[in-house]
Amino acid sequence: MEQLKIFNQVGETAFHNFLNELKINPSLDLIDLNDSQYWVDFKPALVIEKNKIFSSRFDLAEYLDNIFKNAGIKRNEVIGNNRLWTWLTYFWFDQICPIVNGERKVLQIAKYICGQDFRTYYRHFIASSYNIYSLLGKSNTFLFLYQSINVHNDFIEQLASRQEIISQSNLIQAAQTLYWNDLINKPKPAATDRKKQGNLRRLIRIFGQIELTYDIFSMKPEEILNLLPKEFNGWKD
Amino acid sequence: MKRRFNYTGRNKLTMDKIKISLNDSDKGKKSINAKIDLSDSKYPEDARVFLDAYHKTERKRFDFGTVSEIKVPYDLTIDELAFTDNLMFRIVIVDESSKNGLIVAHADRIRTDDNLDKKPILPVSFENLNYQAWKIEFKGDSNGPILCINNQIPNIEYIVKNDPMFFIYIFHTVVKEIFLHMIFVDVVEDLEDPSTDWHADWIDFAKKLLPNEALPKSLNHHDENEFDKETVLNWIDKIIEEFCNSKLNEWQEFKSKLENK
Repeated sequence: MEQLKIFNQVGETAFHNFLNELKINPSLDLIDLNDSQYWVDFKPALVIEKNKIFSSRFDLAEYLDNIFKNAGIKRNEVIGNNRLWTWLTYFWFDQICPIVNGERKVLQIAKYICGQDFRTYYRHFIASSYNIYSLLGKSNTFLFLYQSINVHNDFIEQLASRQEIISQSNLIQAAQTLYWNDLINKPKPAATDRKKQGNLRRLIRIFGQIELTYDIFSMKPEEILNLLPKEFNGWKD
Repeated sequence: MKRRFNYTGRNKLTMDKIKISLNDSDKGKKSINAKIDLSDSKYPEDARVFLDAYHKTERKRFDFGTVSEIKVPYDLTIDELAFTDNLMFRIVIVDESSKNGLIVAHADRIRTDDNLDKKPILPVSFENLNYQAWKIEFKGDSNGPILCINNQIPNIEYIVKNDPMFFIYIFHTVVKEIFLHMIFVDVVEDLEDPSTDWHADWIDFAKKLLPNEALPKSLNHHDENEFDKETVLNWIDKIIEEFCNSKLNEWQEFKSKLENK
C-alpha cells in the first residue's frame, strides 16, 4: 500500500520527457520519480495498492471510485486534478504500458499525461475511466470500460469525446441498449463498423438531428430509441 | 466544426429577457441567480421552461415552471458540477403536449453576467515544445485556439505574465494567426450569430477593439458574392493595429527596458 500522490510540475515534466524518450528507446527502464521533489501528497491522505491487478478499465474505475467515496471525496473534487491522474499512470505504469518482449509501446502522450484540454482528456486511460464511471454510474459504462486498462476503444473515441453526448446518461443508455450484448458481456459485432447500417457513427449523427427538435434531456432512453429510423431496428433485438 | 441548422422552426429567445449570475459567497456553496422574463412572449402558456447549466462533461437542469408561470426553483446550487468557472447556460421552452417534448424556443451559450467581461478567450498551456518557443494550437473547446508555450524555458510562467518584451514580440502575431485561421481555415458561416463559440468570442473581441468600424460583409470565404479577401485582410490589420494601440503601457515598459540595457 502506498500513499496517493499528485505530481508537481517537475514530476509531470520529468514523466513527460521520459515518455518521449521511451518512444525512441522502448527498452528504457522506468524513470524513478519516487523522490519527494516530484510530487505532493494528496490531501486527505489516502492509500492505494501498488500491486493491484485490474482486469478491466471498469475494475480500475470502480476501485478508484470506492477509494474516493469511502474517504468522502466527491467526483468534482478530483476530476480536474490532472496531475493526480498523471501520477496514477506513473504509479501503475507496468499495467498501463506493460513490457512485452523487453519493450514498452508508448501510444499517444495524452493517454498517459492528463492535460487540461477536454478535447484530449477523454483519452487518458485513468482519468477518463474514472470520469465516465463516476459521471454515468456503474450500469451505463459497459461500452467504454469493458476492456483492459490500456485499451482505448472506438466507443470512447466517438461518444466520450463528445461532451454534449457523454454528459447525458439517457443517450448513453440508448447506445448501450443498441450495441451491448449482455449475454457475452461485449459489444455486438460490427457496432462501430462504418459500413454497417445503424452503426455508432450514424447514431451520433441522428442524436444531433433529434436534439434540434426534441428536448432530449427529459426523454427516457426508450423514447429516444423509438425516434430512431428503421436502420437501427436490427440493433434493438 | 460544429454547425447548427434550424430546419425545425425553433425560435431563438432574445437575451435581454434573461439574466444569470453566479453566487459563490454563500459559505462555499456555489449557486446561480436567474431571471427569465417571458411575460410578453408568444409561446404556449403551458410550455415548460428549463434552464440547463453546462460545461465540459457537467450538466444540471433547473425547472423554471411554465411560460405563463415562471417559478424560480428553490435549489439553484451548482456544487455538484466539477467545472463552474466558465459555466454556460441554455434555456429551452418545451411543448410537452405531444408525446415527446418539442423545443419551441431556445437560447444557448449564455454566460453569467459576471463572466461576460472576464472570460479568457485565449487559454494558455505550458508544454514541452522542444526547440520551439511557442505555437498556436487549435485544440481547445470547439477546436478553439490555445497558446502553447514551451515550459522548458526557465521561469517562463513569470515571463509570460510580467515581461512586456514577451508580450510585445508575440501577442500581435498570435492575434493575427487566430483571425487568419478562423476566417481562412475554418468557416464563419454567419457573422451575426457564429455557430462556433470561439468564433463568436473573437468577433466580439474585434467589435470591442473597433467599435466604430463596420464589420466586413462576410467572413465566410465560401461566400463568393459577399466575401472580399482584401477587405477582410485590411480588417484584420486594423484589429492588430488597434490591439497594439490598446497596449500602450506594455509598449512603454518594453521601450524603457531596452533603453536601460
